[in-house]
Amino acid sequence: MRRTLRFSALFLTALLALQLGCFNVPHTSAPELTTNVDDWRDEIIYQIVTDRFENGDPNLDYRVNTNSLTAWHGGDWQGIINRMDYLEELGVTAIWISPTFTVVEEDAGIAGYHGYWPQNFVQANPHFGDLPTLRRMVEEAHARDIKVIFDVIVNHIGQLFYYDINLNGQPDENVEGSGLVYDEYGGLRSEVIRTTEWDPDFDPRGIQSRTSLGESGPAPIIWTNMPELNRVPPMPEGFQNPEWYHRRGRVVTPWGWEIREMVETADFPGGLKAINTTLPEVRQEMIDIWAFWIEETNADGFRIDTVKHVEEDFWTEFAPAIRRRLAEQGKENFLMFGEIFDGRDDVIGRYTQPNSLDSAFYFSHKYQVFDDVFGRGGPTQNIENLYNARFANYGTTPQPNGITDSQGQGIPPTEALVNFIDNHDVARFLFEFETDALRAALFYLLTMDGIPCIYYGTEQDFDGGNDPANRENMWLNDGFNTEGETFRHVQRLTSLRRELAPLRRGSFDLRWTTPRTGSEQDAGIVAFERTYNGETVLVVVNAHPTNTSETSATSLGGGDMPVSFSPGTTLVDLYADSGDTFTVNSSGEINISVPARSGRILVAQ
Amino acid sequence: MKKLWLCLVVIGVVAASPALAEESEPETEPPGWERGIGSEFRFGSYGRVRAATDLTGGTARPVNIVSFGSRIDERSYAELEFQQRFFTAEDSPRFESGVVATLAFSDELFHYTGDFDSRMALRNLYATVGWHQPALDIGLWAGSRMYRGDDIYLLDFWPLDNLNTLGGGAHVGLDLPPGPLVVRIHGGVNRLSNPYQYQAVEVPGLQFGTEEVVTLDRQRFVLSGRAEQQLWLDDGGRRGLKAVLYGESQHLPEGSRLLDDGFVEEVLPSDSGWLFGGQFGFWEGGDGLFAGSFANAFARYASGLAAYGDLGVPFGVALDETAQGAGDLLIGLSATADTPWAGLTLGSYFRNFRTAREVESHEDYWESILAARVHGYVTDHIHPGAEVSYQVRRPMGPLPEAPSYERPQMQAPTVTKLSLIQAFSLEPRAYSRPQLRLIYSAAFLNESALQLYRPEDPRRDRPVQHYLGVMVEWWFNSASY
Repeated sequence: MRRTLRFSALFLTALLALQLGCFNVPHTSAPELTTNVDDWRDEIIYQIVTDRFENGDPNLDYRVNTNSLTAWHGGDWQGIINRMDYLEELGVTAIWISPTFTVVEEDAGIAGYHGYWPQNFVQANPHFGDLPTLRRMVEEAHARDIKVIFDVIVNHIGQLFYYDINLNGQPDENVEGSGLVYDEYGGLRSEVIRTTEWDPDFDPRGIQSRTSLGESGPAPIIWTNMPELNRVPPMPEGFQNPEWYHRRGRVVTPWGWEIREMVETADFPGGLKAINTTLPEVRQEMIDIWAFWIEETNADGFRIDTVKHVEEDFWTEFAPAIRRRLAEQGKENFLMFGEIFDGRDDVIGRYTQPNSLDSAFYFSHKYQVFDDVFGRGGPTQNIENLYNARFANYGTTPQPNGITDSQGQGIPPTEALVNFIDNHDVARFLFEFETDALRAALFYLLTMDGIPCIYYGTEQDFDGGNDPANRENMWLNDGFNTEGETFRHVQRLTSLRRELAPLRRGSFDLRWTTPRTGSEQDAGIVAFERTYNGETVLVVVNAHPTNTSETSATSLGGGDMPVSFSPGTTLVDLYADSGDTFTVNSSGEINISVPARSGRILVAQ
Repeated sequence: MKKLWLCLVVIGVVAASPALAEESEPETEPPGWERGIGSEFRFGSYGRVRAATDLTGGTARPVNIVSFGSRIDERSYAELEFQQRFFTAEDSPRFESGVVATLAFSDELFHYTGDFDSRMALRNLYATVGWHQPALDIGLWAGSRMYRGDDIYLLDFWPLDNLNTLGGGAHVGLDLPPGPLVVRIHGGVNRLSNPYQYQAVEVPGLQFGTEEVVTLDRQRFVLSGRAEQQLWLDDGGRRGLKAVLYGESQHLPEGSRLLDDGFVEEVLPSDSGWLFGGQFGFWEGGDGLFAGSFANAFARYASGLAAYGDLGVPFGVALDETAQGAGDLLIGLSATADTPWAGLTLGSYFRNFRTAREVESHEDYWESILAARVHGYVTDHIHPGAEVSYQVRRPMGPLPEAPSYERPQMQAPTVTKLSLIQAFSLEPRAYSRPQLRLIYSAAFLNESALQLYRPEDPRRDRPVQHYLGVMVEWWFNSASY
């Protein structure tokens, strides 16, 4: 018996020792923040719709239906980790992933797989993984010198409340009137008015309640309680304060997009409720939230959603505060670029003025150059026109404490615009245009100035139409094939961009554009030189759909293209396997022929 | 309908008793008697019923953060067991057979809920046959059975072997000079009513309406073996040591099921797992100073599918959707030191559980609990006592709620319970039952433990949770304990 007691005592002591061990839960401490970027112009961004890229953790497959493009598909952060080799092989150096926070599961039969319907701003989206997995994804990316960009939303929350217009405590859709005309009263019409309390039309006074007796003052908002769809009041708790929302109803499309007040204060179509970002406490909460995500993960940049739907002065408060807070912890050269979904160049540029964002998603360029020139065969003079407008519309001075080059010199927004051919909000380029047009567009994208951004699946010739058809599932569509022609094309271009510093950091000097699009000698030609540290690369692209064209207008009474290279210099095409060469004539000009929808990257031999 | 069926089974078992048969046909002597066959009907039961408040006006609910917490505040539960044995008259060799049926009822009692209803399950429904000789004991069983060994009483936990299957088994017992050796083997199946193992879908009927088609039906095969060697330290086996070796394997074939849209077929891979463990114990019986004392130490490791238990559905699966890579290491202790004046009971375990995920998450954890209960035998029937327990669970990753947004670092959740017990029972023994108890218990939760409750749960704001109640517990004639 005594021996047994002794054994029991020993056993209990061992158990107690285990029980009194280290009790902190691991992985709860944030990583050390580091600066991981030399010069953002060196980077090639690859945009990933996380839910559609790769399913790496089957445990997270909740409400998955891969048959529907509006349902969750199961992609996650582990999937991105698993495909790092692919990203490296493609040659991209930064990834922009879908929003990381918890969202509304589903609204009106459509899932929140895209991540743009916030419910809890500070909780990791459980469909994508947990915070440690996100941290590990960033670590794995950094280990391969791949940067990570998070997607930021400050404009709205998901469909989490309705306006109780008729004060009956339930969400209603009312139809008033019959549309009939009563001739006996002089043709008076009974107008049909449809009101949905989920998404009423904009009212600058704020949505008003009303009954059959007339208006009754501001309509209260009622939070949804649908836990099965995660449609419960937003988090952090401050967002449950009705005062934190504009409560003016939904923008009235399409004309409402032209009215700035409506653009900035109305709910976004789909019932995404506009947050009142004019309030100081809201601004501080947003700064805390978004700094939190970086402090927890050591990610490298922000792509910011719906920028123009938030008042301009928000950004001049938000961006410097984020830069300052992260810099204090060791993270500098932090890129913030905004989505200003607008074809108007001046509207986009507005948000890159001093103290605002480092860069913008270059929508005007997408429409006027990639679509109009490379897709539709429009004049390459568009490129020059847009380029010239850039210096009037965009910030020309570096942001204080903003992004810098490797020498620590600030990079102005005009030199760091994020160029793209397509993205998750527009139809894929191939939906409307041909494959060789895409390859020519990619050629230009990966040789022009700024920061190129490739939408996932572009390299696999995905051709989906508008949302959601443009959000194809990669892993179910043979999306990781590394033998395809477009994949190899991108791979070759990314390789050359990495190899040739002028293509990344060099000046951008247009040498040839043309208004001609027919059978003329130079139709479709755009040529530019990029020079960095005394090294110059000449890029010539032919956007013409069918003709081989030249950098020359001799048949039109003009001359060949003047270049900065000395007469007699022989230039060799690094892109073409044939190693074609061209020589600068005694006048310092050169005639380079380029087949339809292709290009040349030329350096002095 | 299900309950009616169960009642019929019970009635059938009882009705099969020769004694009752004799009553219904008194003039006809059962043929068995002519051949020297006897029979015996036994009713047995395990049960506990409680009435308790949390002192806020609500039902006291168990406060535990580990898988098997202190049972001081556990819910009501009861089993009603019916056994009918048949046996030959000869002593050696003697042949026996019998049927066991156990009905179990969960917490929701009519007098509390007002619902004339209950949740019940048939936890045993099996028959046995056996041959008994002085030095050899052989038995077979088949049916549906709880199949288990020794427990840790204070935690209501069977740490080594605890299976629930439909199947059969055999045992061989040898009376060897140091003490009996008993070897048991068993094989069984289960097929859970869960999309992991079973799916039935509606399809268009042949002419009108719909028919149900079973699209997934994969059985889990469970095999187990157990060898127990006792070493008697006196002639009658009142004191002794025992050692147990136990092994188990589980196998699940591949299957496929239709996803929600009804068209896409998802393949569920085959899976398997094993468990191996042992137990070392000591007991002191008879009527000595420590009569009724014992200690059992357990250790086991389960891998793959077996890490989730025989009725478990794997979570945190590997990329190939199997449980390969999961592991469950457990060491445990159950002990009682009983004297004529006081009794001390201990229960504890340490467990390290890992899912099959390559990367650790909050679903991976280690956990531990230590519970000690002491009763003083003031009189033969009045036994005041106290219980102290401490439990901790350390997840290997933070909960999905972003803890660090509000708190710099998350502590492991812990719960400490301090309880006072006034017990009444027939004898001054730790396990004298029935035992009626008046209990007050206070559970102290740290901040992390409170965070395990959802924000909407009012208990999230109660770092001290109370339990005040009366409980009665009994067992007798039960084949399962």
